[in-house]
Amino acid sequence: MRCEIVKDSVDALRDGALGLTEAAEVRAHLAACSACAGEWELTEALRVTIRERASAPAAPDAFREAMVRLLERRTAPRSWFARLQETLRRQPLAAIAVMAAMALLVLVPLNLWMLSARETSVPLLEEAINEHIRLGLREAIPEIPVAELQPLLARHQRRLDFSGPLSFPDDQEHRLVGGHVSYLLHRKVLTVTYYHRPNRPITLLVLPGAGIQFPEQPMSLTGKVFQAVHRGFRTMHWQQGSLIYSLVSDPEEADLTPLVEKLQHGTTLISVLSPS
Amino acid sequence: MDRVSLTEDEKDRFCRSLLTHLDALYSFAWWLTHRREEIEDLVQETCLRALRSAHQFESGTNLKAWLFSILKHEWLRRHHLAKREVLSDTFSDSPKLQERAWAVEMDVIRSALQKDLDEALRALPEEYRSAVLLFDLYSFSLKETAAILAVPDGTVKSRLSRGRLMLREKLQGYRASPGDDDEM
Repeated sequence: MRCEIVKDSVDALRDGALGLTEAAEVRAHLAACSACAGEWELTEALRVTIRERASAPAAPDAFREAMVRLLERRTAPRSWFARLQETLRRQPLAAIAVMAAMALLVLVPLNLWMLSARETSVPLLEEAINEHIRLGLREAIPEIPVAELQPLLARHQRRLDFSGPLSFPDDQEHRLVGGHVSYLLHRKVLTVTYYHRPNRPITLLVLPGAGIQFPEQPMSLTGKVFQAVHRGFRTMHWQQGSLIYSLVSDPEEADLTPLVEKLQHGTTLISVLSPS
Repeated sequence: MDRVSLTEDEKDRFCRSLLTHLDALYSFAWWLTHRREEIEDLVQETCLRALRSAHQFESGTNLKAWLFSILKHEWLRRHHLAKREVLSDTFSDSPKLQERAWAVEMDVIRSALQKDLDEALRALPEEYRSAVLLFDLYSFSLKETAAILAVPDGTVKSRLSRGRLMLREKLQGYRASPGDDDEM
């Protein structure tokens, strides 16, 4: 083995990186070549000197403490949100499931709210006219005859107590035909039908006013009563205590004021024990 | 590694292992720059980079060597030396060195003062100094030294050989003219 080759191999020999055969050849050369052996010894001495005397300053205590604090901060237990993020990153399927659940949590209530908002957004005026049309389309006798109106209502709608007459026997102009209980605007509503001579229907809605924006457009105030001609129907509305009264008549019907006055005179005509 | 990140416990264990090499990192940075602010900045950046890349560390390999390679890379990056490939190889084997008596040289090496040794090491071109320090002072293997310096094994052998000869010549120079110490 030549000296140049040994010179290149001594560090590998120190490192234990030579194969057994090659290491044996290098050792044999070092034993036989005084020049290479001398270099080997000088290098070994230099390595020892470097290891023992070369400066290797340790990290100052203050710096070490700062690093410990810094690393502790970086590895401190993270918030539940950060942990959730890590979990989701590790488990994509879980991430998809959580996102779907969150979407449902948001969308379902939102959808319900929108449905609810859409229903309650139907104005009282519109609903009163709709009910008047529905009753007219049925062309049937109201399900509750006059004679049974009060006890039946008391049975079917315990929260409404009629303490005064709705019929006016002396009034031939407005004859009470009957009534029934409807469910409009998310509440129970008493619907009463009068016939104006000879058989022009007039619908009266009596309902708890809580939560209803009253009055509504396009109602205009005349005295204490709001009135509007809407969709071709005559309507009159007023609030009495916690109740709202709405009268709707056919287009051909004349002035509703006399009936309104009769109903208003009996201030205890209808009272509510508790809101529906 | 195919892992995306470490768990909290794994990070905690990694940090504790990392801190056991803090002194070695600090001293290697000291050899690279010698300015305290930069030393601490280098070591801190090395630790944080290591923590961020902890999932890439292959367990069972030498963490200390991995940390040193990060530190060296960071130092090169800061000094825009990453692509520097041409060594400042101005050294050639000195005929004078070859002629010196072996016994005298051995005495020079064995009696070298820390101050002279540090100064001689600092006077080496960085490429040679790093190779000598990593292999002789920090006891990394040839392969680990090559990995830290991002050079082939053969280059490390060459730098070690040349670096040591330059070091021996400088130490001999300090012995020949001891008065120079006072002027430096």
